[in-house]
Amino acid sequence: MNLQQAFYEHKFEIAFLRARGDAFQDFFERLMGFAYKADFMACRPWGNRGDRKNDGFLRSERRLFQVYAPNEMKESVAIPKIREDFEGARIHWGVYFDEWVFVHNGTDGLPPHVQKLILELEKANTGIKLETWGLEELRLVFRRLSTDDLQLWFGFAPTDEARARLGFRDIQVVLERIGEQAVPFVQPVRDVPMGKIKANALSESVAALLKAGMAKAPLVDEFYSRWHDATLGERIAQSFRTKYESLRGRFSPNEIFAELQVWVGGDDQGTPEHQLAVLAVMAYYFESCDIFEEARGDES
Amino acid sequence: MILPSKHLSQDRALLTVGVGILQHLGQPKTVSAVWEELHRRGEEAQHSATPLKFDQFILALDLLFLMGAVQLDEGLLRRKKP
Amino acid sequence: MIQRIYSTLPTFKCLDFRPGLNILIAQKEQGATSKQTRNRAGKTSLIEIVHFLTGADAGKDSPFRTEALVNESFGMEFDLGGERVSVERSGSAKSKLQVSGSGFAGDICRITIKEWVEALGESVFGLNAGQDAAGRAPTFRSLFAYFVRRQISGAFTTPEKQATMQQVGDYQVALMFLLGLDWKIASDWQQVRDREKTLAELKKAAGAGAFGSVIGKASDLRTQLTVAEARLGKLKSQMGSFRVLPQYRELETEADEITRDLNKLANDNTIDIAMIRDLEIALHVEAPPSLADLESTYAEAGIVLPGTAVRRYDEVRSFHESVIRNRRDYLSGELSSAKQRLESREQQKAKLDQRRSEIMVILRSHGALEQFSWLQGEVGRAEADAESLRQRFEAAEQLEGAQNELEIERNRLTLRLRRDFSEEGQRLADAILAFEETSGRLYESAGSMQVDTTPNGPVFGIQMQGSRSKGIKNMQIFCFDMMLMRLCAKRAIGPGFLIHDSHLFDGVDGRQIISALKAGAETAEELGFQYIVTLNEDDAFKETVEGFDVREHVLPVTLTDATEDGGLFGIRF
Repeated sequence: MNLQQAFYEHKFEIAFLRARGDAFQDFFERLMGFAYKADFMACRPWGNRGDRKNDGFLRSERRLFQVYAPNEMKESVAIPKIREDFEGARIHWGVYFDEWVFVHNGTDGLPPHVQKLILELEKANTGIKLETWGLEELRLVFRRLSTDDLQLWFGFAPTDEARARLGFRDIQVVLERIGEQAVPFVQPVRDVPMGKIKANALSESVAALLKAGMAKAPLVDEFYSRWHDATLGERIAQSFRTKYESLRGRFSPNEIFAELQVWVGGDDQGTPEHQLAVLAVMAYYFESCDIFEEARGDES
Repeated sequence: MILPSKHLSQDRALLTVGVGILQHLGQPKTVSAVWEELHRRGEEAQHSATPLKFDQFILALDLLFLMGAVQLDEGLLRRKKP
Repeated sequence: MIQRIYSTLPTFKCLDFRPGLNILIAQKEQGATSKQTRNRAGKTSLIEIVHFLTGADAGKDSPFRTEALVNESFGMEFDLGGERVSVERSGSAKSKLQVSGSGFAGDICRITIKEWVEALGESVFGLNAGQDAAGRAPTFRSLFAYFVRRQISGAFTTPEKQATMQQVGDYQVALMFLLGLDWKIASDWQQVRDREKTLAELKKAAGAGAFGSVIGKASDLRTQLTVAEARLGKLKSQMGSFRVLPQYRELETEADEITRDLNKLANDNTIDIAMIRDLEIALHVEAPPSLADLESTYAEAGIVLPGTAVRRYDEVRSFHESVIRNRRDYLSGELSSAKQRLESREQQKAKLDQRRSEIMVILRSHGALEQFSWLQGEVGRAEADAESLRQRFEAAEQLEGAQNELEIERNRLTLRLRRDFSEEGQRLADAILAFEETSGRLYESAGSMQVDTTPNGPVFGIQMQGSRSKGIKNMQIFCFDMMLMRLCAKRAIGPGFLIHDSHLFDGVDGRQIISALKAGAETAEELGFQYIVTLNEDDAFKETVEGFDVREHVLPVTLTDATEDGGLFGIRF
């Protein structure tokens, strides 16, 4: 996975995770629109017929989508809802589709009872194929997107070319965004155990981003050693620790990473160099263990 | 500041700078003369990416005073004899 | 001599001639002054009849083809080669005529005009019909016209020409013959002129025709031709060594693609090399200088550092080492894969480089089919160019050569003519004296004849003191003709008669006319030839001269234009 891909996949994962309820439908429509262009018909332009059990239609593949994104999937609610949606779709749109897709935002697949229901429905309706789409299916759709579409959606990604051009000025801009805190009391200095990425259960794309940052971490180190104020590194570290503490426990590690990215880099879509400078600074403090959890000794 | 830390390199720790100052005080010298020597040495040493800054030098001197390692005598810096 | 001129036309006034001077009078109506009126009387017609019967062409405009005369035949009885001969000819059967006389087998024989002219040429001038002279040879018709000059052809303009249209070569040959000189020189001269004319036409044609451009100078063309032939040779050898490669274009494309691929590989390498540099820096552990003297330095200053402080230095060093360890764990994979990428790209580059150089070798030594076709086309074009230049060059050389040759030929002919004149000086002198002799008998001298050699052949001129009135010109012609008669008599050639149309005396002073008639009569008597003159009545009796009576020589038949039947034919048509 190259740097650009890793960056966008991470963005995609975070967007997927944050999309709940109606926002998930928006997310889905946006993704499908980018991936299939005019071939995909979102349900909304279909007039004011309300939700006629159709959250999108892929013309060329005769596929109908039903989006389902509750905050949690309760069996008692999910089963009747799915049944009702499927039947409605069959009545209203039966002529148009050969395939019905149940799109959900579950990160760990579907509960067994839901899967069972899908199989039953398929058996009962010959000629109609039923599928369920979650994070991984949508990831495959996401991978169809062109670079232009990705930039439209998520802005510039750091690139290998940017890596070669990265300089102090880029680092300085990033550090100046981060509020400095007073020089902390003397912190204990301990070795960093091995296996930190794994210990924090970070995704493949986040791992790739961290590695890209690590390759540039010496630039941050050098910056601190030359900066007129010798304590800057410590003071920024203190800000990172405080920020991390505020996020910890409220989000998953991958989400925390995304939050920190925004906190460090800002919400605006910067240049590839800016994005990479953000990663370099984050990797520096990740390595020094000011943010994220240490691996337990036995994992080394 | 006094001691090195994760984000403060050993070179920039005041205690380390203090060692350099003490090593230049084989005989009493003016503050300026010590600064000149240390500074020149720092510039000559190619490997050192972090030339000593004057404020750090002053802070290190302060530390040495506080510890009682040096004293100012008629405008000259000198080591305290144990 | 001519005995008689007759016709089947009933109204025709048959004419009988005597030896010596014969004068046919034409009366002019009072007040009618135009020549045409007098001509109606038929003076000129007599001349035309004589020519008609001696083989002249009878074209569409000939009076003998007119409705009134076309079915009538005309005849003449005359002496030919010592024989009495009658010849008859009709406009309706113009290509044949009838001849009767002891010299011709049988009584009457019909022969073609051509045969008649040949016969006349042989017996009158001793011309050999079979004689195959290259160029011009004297012909009967051309020679005879001097003895019966025709106003209709403009024979009264200048003595040496019997027609305005007569070519230089023609009169030179005729006169050289009549003067008994080497007429072949004049004939050769005409050949030179003919070739020059052809040359001029060729040059004109070369300017616009055959090769589409002016032929140009041979020297310029030789240079151009040399250049063109060298170019052709080069192209031909190129074509000879040309190796066609059907896949040439595909290979060319492949080479281009390889170049693009190589560039891309080099760019990718640049990125990876930068990455490798970054990673190597990131994985490099710079051990901080050992501070063994930290404690001792402070100890010397009487300071005992707390254990925690000293330990902190070790902790920080160890921490940095652990960071690098971690990094190495994560990044050594990146580093080795980057190096591997670099390595495999280098191999790919080497392979591609080799393939490209192979292709380049092939491309350098071969060519595409369309290049070959183009080359073929070029060779074709170059061949055509060279060929056309060659032709032009040859033509130019020929022209220039021919011109030089003709220059030389002219010079040679001039020399030949001079030599001939000096060898035949006696004959020239005879001619000049013969002219003088007649001129001296006239009332007023007509000048003296000169024959000169010029680069354009012999020139017959008359040197004249005083005025050059028309009358004098006419008298020069009279003298010239008399000279010819004298020379012919001497060499026993010629028709034995001379006919002068009244036009010869137009505008001539009366005294001059009478003295000329007297001289003509005396010369005719002396040399034994017949001198026939047609004369206007008012010219004939204006003057008298001692010892000569015009009336003695006047024919009984007189012509007049006053009446319809007064003319020679007795009818108007």
